[in-house]
Amino acid sequence: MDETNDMMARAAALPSEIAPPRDLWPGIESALETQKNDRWQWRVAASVIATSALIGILLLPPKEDKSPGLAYIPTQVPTLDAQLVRHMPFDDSYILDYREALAALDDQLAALPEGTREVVVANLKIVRASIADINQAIDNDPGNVQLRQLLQLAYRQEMAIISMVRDSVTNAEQIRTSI
Amino acid sequence: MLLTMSATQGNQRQPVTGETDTIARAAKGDTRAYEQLYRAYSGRVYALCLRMTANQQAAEDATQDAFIQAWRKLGSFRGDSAFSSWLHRIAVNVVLSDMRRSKREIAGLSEMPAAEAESGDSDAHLPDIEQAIAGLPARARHVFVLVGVYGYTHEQAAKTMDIAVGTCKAHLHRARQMLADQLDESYGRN
Amino acid sequence: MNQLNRFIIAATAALAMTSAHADKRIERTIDCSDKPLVHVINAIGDIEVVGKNTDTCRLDAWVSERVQRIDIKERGDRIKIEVIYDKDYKRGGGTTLELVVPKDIDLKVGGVSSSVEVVDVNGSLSLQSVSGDVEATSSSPKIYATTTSGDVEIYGEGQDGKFQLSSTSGSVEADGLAGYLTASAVSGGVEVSDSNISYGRFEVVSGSIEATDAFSPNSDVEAEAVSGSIEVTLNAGFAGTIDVTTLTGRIKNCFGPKPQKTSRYGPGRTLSFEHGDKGDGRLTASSINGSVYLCLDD
Repeated sequence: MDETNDMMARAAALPSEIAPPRDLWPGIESALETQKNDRWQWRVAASVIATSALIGILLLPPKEDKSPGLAYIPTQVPTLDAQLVRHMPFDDSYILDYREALAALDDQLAALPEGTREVVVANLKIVRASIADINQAIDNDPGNVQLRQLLQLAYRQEMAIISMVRDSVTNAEQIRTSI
Repeated sequence: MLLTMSATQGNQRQPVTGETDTIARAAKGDTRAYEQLYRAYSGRVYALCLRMTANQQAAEDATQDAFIQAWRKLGSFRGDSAFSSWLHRIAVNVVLSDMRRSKREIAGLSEMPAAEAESGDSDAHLPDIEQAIAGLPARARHVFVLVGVYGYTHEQAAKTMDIAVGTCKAHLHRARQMLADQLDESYGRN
Repeated sequence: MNQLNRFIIAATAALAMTSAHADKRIERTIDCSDKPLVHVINAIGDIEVVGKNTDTCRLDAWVSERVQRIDIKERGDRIKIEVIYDKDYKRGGGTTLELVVPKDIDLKVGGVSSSVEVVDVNGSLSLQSVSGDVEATSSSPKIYATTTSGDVEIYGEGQDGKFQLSSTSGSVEADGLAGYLTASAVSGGVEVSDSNISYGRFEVVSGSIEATDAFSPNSDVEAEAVSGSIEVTLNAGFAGTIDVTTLTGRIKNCFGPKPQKTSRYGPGRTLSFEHGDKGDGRLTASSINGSVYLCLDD
């Protein structure tokens, strides 16, 4: 038993660091650069299109029509501009629901714990970045069914996040009625 | 199998001055800042990976993968725990995922009997507990490394490894017995 | 309202607290023999419910000074236990509830800043929190468990049933379940192990999905991630269709054909094939920016 305890003590006292036998950083750096470049190329393409769209929107005369659109810009949630939905044929009722959900989202986010709020916003941005990536890919290959399925997935996940936020706030409100 | 381990004595890790700032810069895409973090923590991560995999090449790969994954996830690092602990968890998960993914291939290396693990050492050589740990079967080794070396509780280790707490305890018991047997043999006692 | 009152049968235990006493302990015993549902509400503080071979419900509560009272009401076929706080509850601490109930009872628990832990309660479970973990060890065939910023962990005993688990910023873990399982997380991971799931739907955004030793041979599995990775190990006897897609991630599988590029012009990989002997199993795994790893159990 003493030997076993001695062995456990020796294990616990092992050095916390062992130098790698070679420098692993160049391999890591290369992987990071590849990732950065991939993302960067897509982002640049997406931002060029988004900027063009913005200029287009700014040059257009303001419309009195209140028909549903996707121009609502909440303070925390990244907006979804028209360019990003160009490959997704939403019907008007969906856009209306979507717009309402986004409009409510800021208030709902304010009711969440701070850390969770940051997580939600960060993940909405991730989804939006993915939507931009997929739209770019579809631009180059419009007939690609898999890419369109991935685009649907991205929108589904975005709505799932929004629904989760709404549900948590609703649940909390129901329980707080006892206060 | 003789593992080459050049241990860093004591705490020789170069502290990252202004670590929070360095992490923030890395999270924004500054690879120079991230290299500082790599230089500071690669020894710890590699030590963990080497002990978990018992294989130098696998440990190098896992160390690289851990830093690559950590880079991707830096945006979600909120500072609730120390950066080293956060990185440690990522590295453990990388190793366990790799092991699950290529179970057969890795098992060939890790299920090597203890005697073989010590081959290359002369009889007179004082047994290195690192070598003995490396000779344990994979699951027993993982539990022993997490609980015995890194101080996880059984609950934490079980959760990390996706096994029941009872299974974790059984693996540790087995590991301790096997290590005790190995050390006994090496000391010439029985 | 009158109708509701009619159903308030026995004890409306209005246990008034004076604000001077912090963490006062309250014990109550309630006859639960003809009440198949217990509903517990505690906005602030942990809730632990343990199932035992008993006909009575036993409540142990440590209440803070901001608690006005604990209401215990019998309505129809259920007992509702609710902690009522002062309006300025934020200045005080919470209430810890420990409850022993008959093990086959249905249980509904709601908390806000609360961790919820349920052990050996085997009726249907509905467990909700906002800030806090939700954990259950149970052979219940119907479990709904959700939290916003916490982890959800469900440990079953191999029972067949319907399980719906979700967390926003935490992770979801399921072990020892069979039948129908949906699990979703946003930033955390979804992990399923030691299970026998026949229909599984898993969704994450930036977290990862890991399912090992989790499925029945002809399982129908859908796994979706945005930037997270997906690792699925199918049952060795799986027979059916496999469809895997990713935009920028990798696809690795340890059996079957190699993935193909979806397009000559841009990113995207896909892997579609039939495995096994004409089964009706199905796996659909898609991650936009994460990798997908696919394997068979040994």
